[in-house]
Formats: sequence, C-alpha cells, structure tokens
Amino acid sequence: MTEILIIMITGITAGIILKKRKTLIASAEKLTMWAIYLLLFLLGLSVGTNEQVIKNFGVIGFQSVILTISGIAGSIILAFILYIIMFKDKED
Amino acid sequence: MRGSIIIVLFFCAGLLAGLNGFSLTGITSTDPSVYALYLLMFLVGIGIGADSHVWSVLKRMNFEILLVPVIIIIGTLTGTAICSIFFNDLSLADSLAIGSGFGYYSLSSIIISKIRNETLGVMALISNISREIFTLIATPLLARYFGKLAPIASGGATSMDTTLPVIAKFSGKEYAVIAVFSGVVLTILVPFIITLIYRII
Repeated sequence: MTEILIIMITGITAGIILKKRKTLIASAEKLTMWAIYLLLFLLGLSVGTNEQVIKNFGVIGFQSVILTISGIAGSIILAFILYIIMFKDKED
Repeated sequence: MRGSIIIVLFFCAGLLAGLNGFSLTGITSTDPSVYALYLLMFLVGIGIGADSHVWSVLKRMNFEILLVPVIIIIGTLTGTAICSIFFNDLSLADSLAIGSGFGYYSLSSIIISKIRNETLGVMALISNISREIFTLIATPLLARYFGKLAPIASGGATSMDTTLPVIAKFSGKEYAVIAVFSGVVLTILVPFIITLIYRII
C-alpha cells in the first residue's frame, strides 16, 4: 500500500504546480467529494452483504467507541501536561 | 476536502442496498474500488497542494505549536495500544490504525478497508465519527478542566474544520490558530501513519 502514499505525494506536487488554475482545482475538489461518496457507498455495500459484520455489529460498534475514548483520553492527558508546562504561563 | 453528513448517508445507502441483496460481484471480476481509492488519494493530494491556506498555516510553525500534533499522535497511539490489550480479537496494528484516523473518518475508513477488510473499515468509520461527535459535545468541559489544548487534542484532524468553531469559542481565538495548524498536520499525516503502522507491525 506504499502506492497510495506515492500517488498522494504526486497529487500534492500536481496541486502546487496547478495552484493558479482555479477552475481545474475546483473541479478536482468536486471530484474528490464524489470519489469519497462512491467509496463509502461501496464500503456500505460490502458491509451490507457481509454477514460477519452485520451479525457482530454490536460488538464492533462497542469496541470502536472504546478505542476512540482511549485514544482521546491518551491525547488529552498529554495535551494537559503540555498546556501546563508550555502554554498556560503565556496567557494574559 | 472533508466530510459531512452526506458521507454517512452514502455509506448508509450502500449498507441498505447490500442488506437488500444488491451486489456488484459478477459485474466486474476485480474490485473497482482500489482504483477509486488511487484516484481519491491523487485528488486529496491536489487539494492539499493547491490550498494556499494550508501552506500559510504551516509557515507559522514554531517549536511549541509543532508539539501539539506530535503529542496528539503519541497520546492517541498510546491510548489505543493500551486498549488493544483488552480486546483479544483485535490486533495491536489494527487498533493503532483505527486510532490513527484522528477523526478523519472518510479517508481512514476507506484506506483501512482496502489494506485490511470491511470489518475494520467500519470500525474506523464508527470510531472516527465518534471522535468528532465527542469533541463537539465535550469541548466546553474539556477546555475548562483539562486546559485549552484539550479540545484540540480531542478534535484531532477535525480541529481544522468541523470542530474549529466550537474550539475557537471555548479555547479562545489564539488557540484557533493552533487548532487549524494541528488539524492540517494530522489530516496530511493520516494516510502516512496508517500505512506506516501496517508496514512496521
């Protein structure tokens, strides 16, 4: 899956070069939205036909939310420490 | 560049279609969505490259501000790694990858469903949507009890757009700049971190 990174970097380079061509960039952005819609529709479709996922939806949902809470908690704790050490004193 | 409720509706439409027996298998022999993903990554790249706002925000970087996305990454990965210990059926790499969406649910769910499978793609979708929703709801409390960087940490990649208004309101205007910077950095890094995790672990 390194190819997706190479493709993305190619895209960034193309974006920098084509920056001035506003209509082209605008249509690229519109196309981006539709690519996302299409891919999420396809993801929904493959999930809908996947009995494994449908049967375990409760477990999957529960685990996902717990993962989120853990990730948020970890980052908030570090952000709090960083805030106290480096940011708080600079406020007026 | 970022998602909205329409994205979720498209996912649900696909889900309903699938549940009602609609299927693409038989129409094409290879999975067409891999090429759609490549196209998407190229387009996302163009969006980032052409966005002068992104580059002007990145220019304002200094050491302290740079630390914000860094600690969000370390904190999120540490949190999800600890969490994976308690889930026997979920590997460390998968937990970390799901966490590495940092709220950017559209892209992270698509990438993970391609690299791994649909189940994990859906988990990334649910997990990262809830990160955004949690931030929208909890920001007033977070800013009050855990410091003004806490909402930015909670928002992750979403702090540059969807959760920015609420962060600007409760952490203050001077933190809105940091929120945008951190959100931009995380948004760009999402595909890199997810791919890297599956490379290393």
